[in-house]
Amino acid sequence: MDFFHAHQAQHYLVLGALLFALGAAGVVLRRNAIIVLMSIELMLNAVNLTFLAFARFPLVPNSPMGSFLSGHAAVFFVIATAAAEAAVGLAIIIAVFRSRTSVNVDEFDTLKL
Amino acid sequence: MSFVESHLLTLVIFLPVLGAVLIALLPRGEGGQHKGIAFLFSLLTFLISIPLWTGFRAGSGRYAFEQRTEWAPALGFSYHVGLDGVALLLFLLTTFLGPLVVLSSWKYIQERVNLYCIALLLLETAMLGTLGALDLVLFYVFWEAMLIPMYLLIGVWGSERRIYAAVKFFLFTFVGSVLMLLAIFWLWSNAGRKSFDYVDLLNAGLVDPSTQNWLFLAFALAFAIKVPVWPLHTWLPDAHTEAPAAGSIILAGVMLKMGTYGFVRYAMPLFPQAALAWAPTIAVLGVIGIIYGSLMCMAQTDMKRLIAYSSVAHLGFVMLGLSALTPEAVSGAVLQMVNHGISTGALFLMVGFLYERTHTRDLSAYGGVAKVAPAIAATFLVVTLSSIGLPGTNGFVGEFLVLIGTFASRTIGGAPLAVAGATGVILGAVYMLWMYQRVFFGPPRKAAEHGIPDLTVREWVTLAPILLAIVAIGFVPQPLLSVVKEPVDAFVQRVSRPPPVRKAEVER
Amino acid sequence: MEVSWLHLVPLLPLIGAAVCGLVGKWLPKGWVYAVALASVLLSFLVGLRAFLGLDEGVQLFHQLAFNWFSAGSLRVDMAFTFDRLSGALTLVVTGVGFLIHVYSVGYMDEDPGYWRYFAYLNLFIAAMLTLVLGDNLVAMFVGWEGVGLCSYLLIGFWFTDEEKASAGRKAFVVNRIGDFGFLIGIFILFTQLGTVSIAQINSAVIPLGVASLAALCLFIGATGKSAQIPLYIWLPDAMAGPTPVSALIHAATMVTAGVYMVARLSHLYVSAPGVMAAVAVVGTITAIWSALIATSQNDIKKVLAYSTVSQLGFMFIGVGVGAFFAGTLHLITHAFFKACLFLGAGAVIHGLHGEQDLPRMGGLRKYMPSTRTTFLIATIAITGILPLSGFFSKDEILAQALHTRAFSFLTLTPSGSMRLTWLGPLIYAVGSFVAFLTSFYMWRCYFLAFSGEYRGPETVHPHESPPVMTVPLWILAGLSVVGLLLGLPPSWVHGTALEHWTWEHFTEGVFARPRGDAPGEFSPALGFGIALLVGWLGWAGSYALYFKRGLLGDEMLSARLGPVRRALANKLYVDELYDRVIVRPLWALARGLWRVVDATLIDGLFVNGIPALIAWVSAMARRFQNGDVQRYAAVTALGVAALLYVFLVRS
Repeated sequence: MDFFHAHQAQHYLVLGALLFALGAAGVVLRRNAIIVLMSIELMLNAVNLTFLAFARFPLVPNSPMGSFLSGHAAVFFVIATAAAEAAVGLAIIIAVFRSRTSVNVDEFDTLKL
Repeated sequence: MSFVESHLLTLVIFLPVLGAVLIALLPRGEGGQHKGIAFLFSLLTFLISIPLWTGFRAGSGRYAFEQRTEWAPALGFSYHVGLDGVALLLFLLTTFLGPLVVLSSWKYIQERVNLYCIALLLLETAMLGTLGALDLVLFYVFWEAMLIPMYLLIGVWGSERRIYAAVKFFLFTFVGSVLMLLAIFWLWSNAGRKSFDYVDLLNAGLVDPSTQNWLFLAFALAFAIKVPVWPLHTWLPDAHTEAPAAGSIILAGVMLKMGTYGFVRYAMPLFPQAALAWAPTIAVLGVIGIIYGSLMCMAQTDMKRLIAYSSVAHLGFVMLGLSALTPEAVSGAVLQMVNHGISTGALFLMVGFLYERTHTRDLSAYGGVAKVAPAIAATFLVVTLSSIGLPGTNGFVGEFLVLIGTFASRTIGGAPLAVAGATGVILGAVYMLWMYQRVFFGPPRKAAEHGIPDLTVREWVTLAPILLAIVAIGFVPQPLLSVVKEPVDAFVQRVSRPPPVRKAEVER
Repeated sequence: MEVSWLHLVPLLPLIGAAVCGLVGKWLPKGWVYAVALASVLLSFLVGLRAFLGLDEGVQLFHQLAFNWFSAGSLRVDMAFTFDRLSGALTLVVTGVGFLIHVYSVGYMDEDPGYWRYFAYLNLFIAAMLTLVLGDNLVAMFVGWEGVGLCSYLLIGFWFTDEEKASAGRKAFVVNRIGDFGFLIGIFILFTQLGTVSIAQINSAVIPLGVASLAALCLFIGATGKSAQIPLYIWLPDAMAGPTPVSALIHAATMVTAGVYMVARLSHLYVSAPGVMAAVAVVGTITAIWSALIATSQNDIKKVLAYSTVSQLGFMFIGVGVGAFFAGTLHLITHAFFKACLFLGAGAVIHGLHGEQDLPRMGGLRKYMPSTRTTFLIATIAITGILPLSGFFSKDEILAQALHTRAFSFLTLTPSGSMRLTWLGPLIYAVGSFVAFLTSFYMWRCYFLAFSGEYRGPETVHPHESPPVMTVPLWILAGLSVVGLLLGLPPSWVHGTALEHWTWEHFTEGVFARPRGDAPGEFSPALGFGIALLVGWLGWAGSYALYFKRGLLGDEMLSARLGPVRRALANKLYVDELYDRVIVRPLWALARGLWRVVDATLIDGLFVNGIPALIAWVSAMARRFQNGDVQRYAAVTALGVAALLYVFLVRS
């Protein structure tokens, strides 16, 4: 299927995938804990984009199930979760920073066998 | 059966636990009252087990003192206990050794005496339960229950390498048991009646031979480790060497017989065709055990390790007798189970006496003890002679029956095995008399240099019943043999001429 | 005839042993002696009463004391049979035993362990009687091992001496090797004939193969107990025990158990003529082997020990050629004179305060007249220079060997080329040479000890022993003389009252006849002539070398036959050979097996190896958990991706 003439959801999905990949890469590769949190946010927002893309361009158009708003509802959930998680994550980072004076993820390795 | 009769067995089995509970409830204090209670309860257990002997009617075909109470009918297991001749003998051996074991450690154990006494009593219950159980789940529960107290006994009150020995003992025996558990479950699901009950399984008709093979091996592995059969024996020397004297006595005296008992009661009758097929191999392993064990004894410098290997040799005789599948051999094997318990238990007891006085088990640290402690020397000699099977002591009758029964066995080509096993007679004299000479003969030197206190009253009291048993069974073994005649005959019948394979569909 | 008192014979000494052993330490000395002696004497009297009760009508007494044990088809009873053979042996055991008990009262008087000694001695008598009277092989085996135990206890009596303790242990272990053979023999007979009862075995038809195997295995037991090649090595070492013990156990009774067993089972052996030939050959080889060694020993007890081995060889020759009566006759006469010799040696040792070396004796005839005379009589008896008891018994054996037909149908190889008719005469020739040697070394022993002048240290004053020791000597010497009656050839006394006293006549019908017919009537005159000649030659040689010259005789021999004499003095290095070939390799094997198999293979490889392997795998796996959260996240993501792939794309 020719990309440029394909179903328009494709573009959004690709963008979402790219953003997700970038975010995942950031989570795994970045050393600064705050950057990791930002990458997580990026992943979550990429997921939001994917949800909205499917909400706007559903797979089964004209579905008999009334107004198809579950995609939008999911986005709201994700945003709320992201916010909560960011708050808690930052709190943890600050607590760790207080005892170690570092936000370098490589140094948080006491959870090993 | 009256109430007492039908519940006597349960009472005997659980009386030690009552003692243990009592000890646990008492304040810690000094060890005195704990040991007293332990002795009292073990003695009581022995006394109320005497009616089991006198009330036992051989030849009735059923299990004596049988009691069955429903436990979990939906799951198929019940509390079913009863004794046949073989179980009766080992049962009495256990209750007989119980108070002696408590007496033997009176002075030696100083710390955590309450825990020690509890462990001894729980161990006694577990062993009695194993012998009396007629339900496979019940049997398995008691079988596993033996492990923890023994592990504690070795690990807490033992010698230098006690942790290693205790863990080795536990893991080694546990591995075998787990496979046995799987086999038990298989039997339950395929017995046709979804039952764990031993009698039901026995009467249910046999499993087909190929499956029997695996089931038998699963059971046999667990028991073979316990016996121990060569080459699964290496846990025993370590366990014996590191255990305190009482632990060794109870381990050698009773626990090892649980393995041989498992063969006689469970592994072989439940899977007779597999047993028959494996009998020659087991016999060969038995003979290897006899010769190898005896040779190992000759190479030892630690007294307890030497006696441990002699256990391997003696139980090689038992396994040889069991797998020969003639009435003479199997009767001899059962008798040897009792005899070995008495004589090897006595050996460990006496080595314990020596260790308490000199704090060494090394043979090279001894010499000339007979001059300074003649009572120890004399009694040790009697026990030694019992161990090497001198006629007039208990060891001879069992050994002789095993060998002559094996020689006569047509089920396995017995003659060469009996000849090989009979060399154990020579080797036994070699290592035991060599040990005896190194410790007792010659001029008093090293550990005996400044004199060794001779036997105390308590030690005499502990030894006397054993010495009496050695001589009594040596001169009059027939009562024991009469008691086991019927189960032995039934056993031989069943294994060498098994009933037909079950017609019912095998699972899947 | 079933009786109910026969069990008293072995039981009384057993009770005596129990009393002396358990409470003897605290009883007054006299009481211990009384109990010990009385029990043996009473046993002797019961035996005597039984013996006198044997006549034409009553062939034997039997008693089933109790059923000892039974399982399957095996039934073993403690039962006793008192017939002519076992009855006579019972009298010998209890009679000579009693004399030795009396002697021991003197010999062991100053030993603090005397109560132990008498307990063991009584126990021995009880065990020996069980052996002799046992009516089945297992009961006999009880006695068999029992005497082995007593031998161990008594040889190592002075256990604070390491060497003596080792000698006892050696005796027990070597005997056990023989016992192993005995057990196999019992097994064979039980599985093939279904019985262990001697009476039933003796009346059964036994196939050749079965009989041969069983007889051979039982004979292995006999070589252990009766100190034949290859298991005789314990007997010379057994001299470490008190001398009365050597007299009783290692001369008169225990060592004869093997001969007794073969004679008792004569029917079995007759059914296995090949084994009989083997028995005779082993006896012959043993006889000459130990006789040679005896010529070069310097310890008086060792001379007598090797002499015993040699004479036992004679007994086996007797039973091996089918002349069971001759072998057992020599057993009885040998008991008399050998016990006398040993007790005499004991008196010498006692009188010299512990000296046992012949070179340090000499001239004792002046100090110990009773000992000397009885020793002389016994020496005459054993060497046969005058027709005393030993002469007749030994000569009878050789004559039977010469004329036996038991081997005439045997062949050397199964294909049957060469018939063994020459075996009998060969045995006769060798046996006669051994008789010469016997005379030679026994007279050497006598001359070196009693003749010439005293060679010992100044500090030792030889003296005679007390009557409690010399009276038994005289009695035994008397028996050595009187015993000749037992051995008179029937042709001499045919028709007279003495005929009933000859052993050959007395044991008519007790023994089985060998195949190949009985030896024909032969003129004893030639045989006697040669026997006398041989005995006198030995005496003459000894006289020439030792009577006047004393130890010079030994030196002269050494000058001529140096290396030979040295080898003989060193017992032909048999112990060293056994040590190299059997004992040391066995111990090395034990240690090697322990190190290699137990420690390295089983424990190292499996028991400790498998957990080590698991631990190593865990260590490897543990490296995943390094605490790096990002790594965890990455792995999780990969896992999720994989799962998605599986579920979405592959399904």
